[in-house]
Amino acid sequence: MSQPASQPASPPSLAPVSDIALFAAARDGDYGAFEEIAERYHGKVYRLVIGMTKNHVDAEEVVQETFLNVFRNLASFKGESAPGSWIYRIAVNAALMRLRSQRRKPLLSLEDRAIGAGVDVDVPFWSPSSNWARQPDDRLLSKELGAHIEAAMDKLPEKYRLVLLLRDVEGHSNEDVAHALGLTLPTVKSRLHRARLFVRHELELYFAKK
Amino acid sequence: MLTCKKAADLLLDYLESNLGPDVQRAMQAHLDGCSTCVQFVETYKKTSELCRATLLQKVPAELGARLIDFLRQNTQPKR
Repeated sequence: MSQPASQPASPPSLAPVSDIALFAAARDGDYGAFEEIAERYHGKVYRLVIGMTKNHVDAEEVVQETFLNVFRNLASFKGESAPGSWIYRIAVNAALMRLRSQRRKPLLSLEDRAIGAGVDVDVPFWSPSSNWARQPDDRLLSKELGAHIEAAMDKLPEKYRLVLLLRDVEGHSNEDVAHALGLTLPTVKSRLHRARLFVRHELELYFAKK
Repeated sequence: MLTCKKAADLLLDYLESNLGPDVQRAMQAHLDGCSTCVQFVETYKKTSELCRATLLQKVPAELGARLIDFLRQNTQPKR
């Protein structure tokens, strides 16, 4: 079968550009690529740092500071971790710096954060209750239950809450969470498991009253 | 043979298929015979799903636009 005299141009690929490709382009001076990075990650960074700052104004300023630092340090990103992990590490440090500047007592690390101090994360591993997991979604996704989950998250010590946010809410791998927070993989898994058990226990208590 | 407490301790690795084959089989055997632990697993998994569904909604609507404006004012595009 003969070919037509001229072939139509192939349509551009509709596949999204990978984070790694965006970072490479941004490092090479493509400002549009940097803005795309900011677009992709600003929501995730916000959700992470609001848990640390506890107010929207500070959280937004930390988001801005984070991406400013991302821009300034693009050349130093060598790809040893996933780009998102690197951004989260910058975000956590920016949030700590912000909080440190607001306190008289120096704040060295996430481990020093007193929020959630005194909360016993170790809960009974099982208590008899109905299998609330099988309740219809409209009940499980109600505003009342949502508020209860947020309250449970707020009770969690920060070092557990951040792991849960990055792993279960944002969907990152345990390895990427470890890179983002400067933790070992076993520590991430231990904190994740205990955080899930804690929130699960709070939900057990909620449904036991219903 | 696993106890319920041990099964709960191993749950994260079990769900991520990170256990050795013998332990993975022991877990599955335990779950095949323990409705209590089956319920525990279901509520454990549902907890993660509910956290995601609840907390993914909270970004202010104009945050992204304000961020881009801020960055354009405070960064020099590389040439």
